[in-house]
Amino acid sequence: MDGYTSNNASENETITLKSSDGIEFHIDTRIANRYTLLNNWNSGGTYWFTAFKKSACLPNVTGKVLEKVLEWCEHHINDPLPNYDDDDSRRRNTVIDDWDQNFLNRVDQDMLFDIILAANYLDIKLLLDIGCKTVANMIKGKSPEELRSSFNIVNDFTPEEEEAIRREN
Amino acid sequence: MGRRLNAIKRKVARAFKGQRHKTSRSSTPELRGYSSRNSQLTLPADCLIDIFSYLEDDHKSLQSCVLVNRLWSRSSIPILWARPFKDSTPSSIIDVYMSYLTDLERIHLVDNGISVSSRRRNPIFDYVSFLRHVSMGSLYTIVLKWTDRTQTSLSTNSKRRSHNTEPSLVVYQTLCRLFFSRRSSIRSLSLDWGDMEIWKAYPLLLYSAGIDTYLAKLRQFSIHYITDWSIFGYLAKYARNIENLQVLGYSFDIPPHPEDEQNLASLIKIQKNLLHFKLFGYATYPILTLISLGAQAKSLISVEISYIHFTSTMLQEPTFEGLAACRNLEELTILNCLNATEEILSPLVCATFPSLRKIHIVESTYGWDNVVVSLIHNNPTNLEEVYYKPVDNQQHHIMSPTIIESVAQCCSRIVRLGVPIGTLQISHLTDILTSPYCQLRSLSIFRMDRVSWDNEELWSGLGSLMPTTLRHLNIWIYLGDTPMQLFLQNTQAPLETLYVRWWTHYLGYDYQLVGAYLKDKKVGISEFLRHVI
Repeated sequence: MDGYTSNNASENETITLKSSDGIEFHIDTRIANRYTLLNNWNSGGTYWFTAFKKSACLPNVTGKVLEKVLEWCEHHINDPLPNYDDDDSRRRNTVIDDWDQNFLNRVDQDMLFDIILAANYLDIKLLLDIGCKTVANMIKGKSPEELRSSFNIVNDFTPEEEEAIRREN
Repeated sequence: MGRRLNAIKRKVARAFKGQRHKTSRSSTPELRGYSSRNSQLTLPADCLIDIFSYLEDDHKSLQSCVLVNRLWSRSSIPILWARPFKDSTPSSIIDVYMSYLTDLERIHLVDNGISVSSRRRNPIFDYVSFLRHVSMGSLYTIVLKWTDRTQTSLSTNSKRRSHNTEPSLVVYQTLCRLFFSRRSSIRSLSLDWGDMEIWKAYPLLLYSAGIDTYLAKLRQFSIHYITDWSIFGYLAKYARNIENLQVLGYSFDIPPHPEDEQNLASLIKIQKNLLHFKLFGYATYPILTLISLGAQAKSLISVEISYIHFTSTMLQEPTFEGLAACRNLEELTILNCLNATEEILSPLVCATFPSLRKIHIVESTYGWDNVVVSLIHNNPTNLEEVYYKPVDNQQHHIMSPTIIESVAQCCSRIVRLGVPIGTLQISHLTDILTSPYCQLRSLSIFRMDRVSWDNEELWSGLGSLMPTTLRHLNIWIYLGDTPMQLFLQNTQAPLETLYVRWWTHYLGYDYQLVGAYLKDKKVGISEFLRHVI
């Protein structure tokens, strides 16, 4: 089943990515070339590559999430590549543009977390950055109770631990 | 991966290994299972650390994160405690650090008349090991607050005081020993002690045994008050990995002697990979320092120079040759630098900076506008920010091509723009605003001619041309209420801030007019009427 085809797939060489639930995505090699991990797969350099050249299985990413990640990659295909040396300087310069803002506003919280996980797994740094910055913005100004409620987190501290951490921080 | 975050991630991985004093294990046994328990949150520690890193300047939010659950706690605490000393930090933080002192150190404090709590608690985390940035001025401010709070009734202890050293200075020096000698992982140091006496702790910071190790690890160093220029010579021996060097304020009340300044030039030259350099010249002309930038030509990516006055009895030599050689330069900022001559600036006029993203020149004389035009034409590919704010008496100096004309011709990717403009250049502004590639987020315009701009038709038209990407607008031009009303009525730009120079300084804002624009928008008037570039 084809879940996604790049607009320029017919004009450009493509590689195939297969999600954990078996959905195949044919993507423009220009997308793969922009991101280290995908590029490694494209070069046949990792064990994820199957016997079929130019196709890779992603055991940690579902089709639904991969579709969103590839939608983001496709939109940014012509962006200049940033040349920041390290994560600190890259983060300082992270700007969520209007398209990215709308892109992330359209997904629910579970999908947002899945996109972050996928971006982390696929080493797509800029998508990881805007995802993390979005969650950071959601955290701002909230109390611990509000954060637990917003992110569905169980408080696993013992009362003694919580008191000690509260005292020291 | 960034070194700092990677270090935090490693630290989190072993957060509970050796974090407590051996005797503390029985007091918090529940924490042993920390890493093995799962919360319902689907994000792993790696991603949480990335998220929390965006909150490093928001201590209040980080303090909430610390109390959410175990995973959030151990992922956020290293970030919260990496840069703990700010003037607003509560003095209770000193109590936490006090618990790391050895018995000998505690006896030393008591002998100096300092009351130390006899009840020792073992901290849950190894907070000292998380320390990455120390601001000496803020540290001393917090120590002062701590001594004010805890040492009000010295009573019997005061009788035991062996000498007259101020309690705050004794505590400060003891903590310096803890931070710099014991298990230092400090990467960033600010000697921002202003005119306070605490600069007397110099020897502690620089000349103690083992200090060379932490100096070698320093990545960021800033100094705000130079009492002894030899500090740069000493730093040059050991601190060779500085990536961000800032020499700021107070320091040049009188021009440095060339031999003294040579120490700073040596520190710059000896660095292996200096990326960012900031110099506050305090109305002098540090020639040797500027020349030394050439030694970092391969690494420097941002340079900021403020308050240099290019007046010297020495020959006006092209001291920017070193800067002009920095081919990887991405950001150039010049603030209030006066009396530069054509000869001094000539290297910058010809400079090639292929990666240049930002030019920011504020109230500097003379000939900097010519530098900006040349830099735009020579290095247009990656330029996203051009901000040139003229000095007042520069309004009638009109050159050709103008900066705005050059931007219209060369900078299709401009995001932040600040330019002088005359009525004759309005067509260039409209070219920029109506370009299909326009991504402008910030626009500042400064009046460059004597012609009246108080024209309703003009502002009504300009309002309709403002791009929907624009968030910040600053108008340094005389403008009455009616043109502004028409401008705001016609614009589709979702402005977040607006600054009108004449309103702020002379006329006052028409809140009804602004309120009408802000109707149905989330931003409040006071938040909206600000100068943001």
